[in-house]
Amino acid sequence: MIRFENVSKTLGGRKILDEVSFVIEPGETFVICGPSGVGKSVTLKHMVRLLTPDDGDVFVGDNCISDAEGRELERTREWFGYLFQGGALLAWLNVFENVALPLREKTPLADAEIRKRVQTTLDLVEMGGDGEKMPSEISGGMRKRAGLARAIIHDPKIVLYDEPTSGLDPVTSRTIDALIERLQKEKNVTSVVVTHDLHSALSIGNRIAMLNNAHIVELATPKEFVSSDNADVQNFLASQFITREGSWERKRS
Amino acid sequence: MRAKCINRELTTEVIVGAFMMTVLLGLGYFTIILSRQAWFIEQQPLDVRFAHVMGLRDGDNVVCRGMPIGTVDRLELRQDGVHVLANLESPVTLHEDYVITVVTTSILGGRHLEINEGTHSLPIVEREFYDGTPPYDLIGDAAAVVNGLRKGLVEEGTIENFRKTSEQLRDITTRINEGEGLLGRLVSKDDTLYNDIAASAKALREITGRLQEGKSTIGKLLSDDDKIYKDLTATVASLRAVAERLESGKSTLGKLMSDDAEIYKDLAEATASAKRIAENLEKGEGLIGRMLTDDSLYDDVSSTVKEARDTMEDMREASPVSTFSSIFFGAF
Amino acid sequence: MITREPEFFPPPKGMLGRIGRGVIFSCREAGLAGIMLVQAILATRFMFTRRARREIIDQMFMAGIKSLKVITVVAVFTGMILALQTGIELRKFNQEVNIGTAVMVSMLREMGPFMTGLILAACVGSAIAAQIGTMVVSEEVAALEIMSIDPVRFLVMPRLVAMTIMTPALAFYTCILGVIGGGIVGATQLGVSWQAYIDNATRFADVKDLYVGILKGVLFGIIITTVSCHEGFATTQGAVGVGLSTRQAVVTSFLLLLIVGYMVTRLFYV
Ligand SMILES: Nc1ncnc2c1ncn2[C@@H]1O[C@H](COP(=O)(O)OP(=O)(O)O)[C@@H](O)[C@H]1O
Ligand SMILES: [Mg+2]
Repeated sequence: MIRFENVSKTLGGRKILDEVSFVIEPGETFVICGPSGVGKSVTLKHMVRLLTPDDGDVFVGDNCISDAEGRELERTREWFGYLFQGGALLAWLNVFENVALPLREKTPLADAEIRKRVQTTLDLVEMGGDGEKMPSEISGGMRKRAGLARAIIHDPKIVLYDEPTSGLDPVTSRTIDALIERLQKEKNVTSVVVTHDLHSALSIGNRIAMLNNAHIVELATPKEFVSSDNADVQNFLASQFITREGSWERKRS
Repeated sequence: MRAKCINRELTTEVIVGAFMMTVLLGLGYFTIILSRQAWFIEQQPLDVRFAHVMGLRDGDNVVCRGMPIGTVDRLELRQDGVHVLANLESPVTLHEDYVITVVTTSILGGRHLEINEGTHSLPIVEREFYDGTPPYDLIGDAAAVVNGLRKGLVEEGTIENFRKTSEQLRDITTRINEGEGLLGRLVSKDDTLYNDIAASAKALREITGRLQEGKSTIGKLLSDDDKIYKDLTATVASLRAVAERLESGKSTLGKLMSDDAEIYKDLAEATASAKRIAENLEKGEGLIGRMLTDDSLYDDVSSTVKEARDTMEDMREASPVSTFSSIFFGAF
Repeated sequence: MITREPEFFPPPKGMLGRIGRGVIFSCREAGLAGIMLVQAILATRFMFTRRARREIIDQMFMAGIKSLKVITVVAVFTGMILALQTGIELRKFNQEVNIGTAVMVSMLREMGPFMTGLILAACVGSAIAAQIGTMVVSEEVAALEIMSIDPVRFLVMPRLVAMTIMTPALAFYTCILGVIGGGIVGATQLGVSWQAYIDNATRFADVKDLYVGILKGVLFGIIITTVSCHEGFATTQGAVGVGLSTRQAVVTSFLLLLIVGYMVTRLFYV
């Protein structure tokens, strides 16, 4: 579904990605983890061409999105839903209108139909009663959930999550994890989740990639990932008190 | 909740709409006022041909006897000159000696088309287009005056000018009285304004000189046909003509000077005293004798000369318009 | 794409390098702003859709009606100052009555649009730059792009249309209030009767003056919106960047207003 081929990117004079290659299969939940500032968000932004690789190509389906322009780029982007780190809701529209925005702008749907779909999606992220609130009136977690609702309202094939659980309380975090799983199961969307929350990563990911020093240092299923010999991975796991023998698997529903 | 929302939207729309409507109405109103077009009055076209229009523009006023009666519609440059096409709201009939000219509206600038219908007793003229009188060129004339003055004061040979006889004065007087030229044109055509007035002064001084020779010469003076009388009359007439021209403010230069009362007053005083002398002489022998005994005639005449000369100085120094004076000062 | 990729250039070497880079960068910024303006103008074909109409009305309300208060005060005082200054000078020639012309003509041609431009650049332009800058920093603009909603059409076009209509309208409003302010000074301080003042004011001013002023208003509206939106989109470096962009937007707008105002006057009156 998404293919990175030798992608290199330098930002602020520092190499963030160095010849990174990997493939994300359709329908899977792909987790990218790693310490802060390592380039996880940068990787994600390459997938929707918010950033263009210095070298190498990014393919979405069969389209090379890193070369796409104009209409073609627009069409490819329509495959995606993108949950930004801060939600990125428009400040002057209330939650309901924010979620309705992609439908209003990009589809010829009637008002009643739009209302119905927005309400359903808001219910899905457990914000059914908060539609009239302005983004400034709700908490960070709610903003993220509203952003998620907006990202999935137009039934995208691929949803990119940038740190969906960071800064949330554990209970809400698990709700969001459950939501990601549910979307994958019910609508068969391909999910790419960026996180440094390993509990979340291990519980929802089909495969986990660890990014460090501009390279992918490990790419494996959760099981293989915890038993990895890579020192960086071991460090990372240890920092969140996860061990090979631990009980992380039980969390999986 | 929703009703409230719609309400707010509506208010916004209404306020913005009301503001825009007000502005548009104001704009329309101003357009009408500023274009000075009488949109609903039937208009009479007028076509005037000029050699030169001095920067007259579309939309400038047309004035007849001080009253705005229309606007200049457009200007066209044709083979035979500039055609000024004007629209008149109130019709005017032009008589044979009509004058149409471009006039400076104020010292701040601006031009308008001035129509003088002419004498009513003369026959009415109706043409396809009328001929405009060339506009009065203040700066050009000022320069001419300066040239004349420089010639008079700087070049040696012009001492001859001071010897000019009263015939020349009379000639000038006639021309002024015929109203042929405005003051400026008179000055630029002939020698100089300075010379004109200096010549009158000279004539006066000559008379003074003759009187000064003493009692013995009185008889001779008086028997010299009526030369003194004529000379004096001519002098007086010329001075008065100059003063009148200035007073009537026909030319812009004159207008400017009449604003500054000093110059006019000087000239008028000079004229008055000169006239008094002439009248006194006219009254006969006995009177002259009396005047001569108390020396007052001599004083009168010489102060007249002095006044005339002072006037010249004033004109040079007290010119109210800076361009005018700067040309003057540049000349010397 | 309106969102910019972060760029990094090693610091330039020496004085010449700095100047050269400054020149090249300014040209590029001007070019980008110009392209954005063209895109926004092209996007005006969508201006009659329901959402765009709503947005335009809202922007007109924000830009125009909300600035009315300050514009009113500034306009009246501008007219009063003009009348007083010229009146004092003209009194020396007994020509006070001509303040009508002086105030009317300078308000129509120059001061009306210019004062309006300054106020709108300071009030509305800065707000636009700050808002769009904040949106860039909080990735809202990126979100729009991913939703395939053209930020130029969505954000710039309504502001451009609103400002292009509102600025000349407000410039005209400023002119009228300025003339009224001048009349008040004339009547109370200089002994020029209201009637004589109005008569003088309308006698010499020309429709051309009125419409040159309106044209300036249109241009100023376009300039303020273009500069402010462009600076907003060019924001980097988070909250600090928003402050910088806002300042830059106001400064650049001021300079362009002055230059363009001069050029228009030069074009029509020399
Ligand atoms: N706009 C930018 N300009 C310069 N450097 C940037 C920019 N965005 C990201 N970077 C650099 O890229 C690195 C990775 O950023 P990011 O992908 O956001 O980290 P994270 O993995 O925490 O999401 C950071 O160290 C940052 O210095
Ligand atoms: Mg990040």
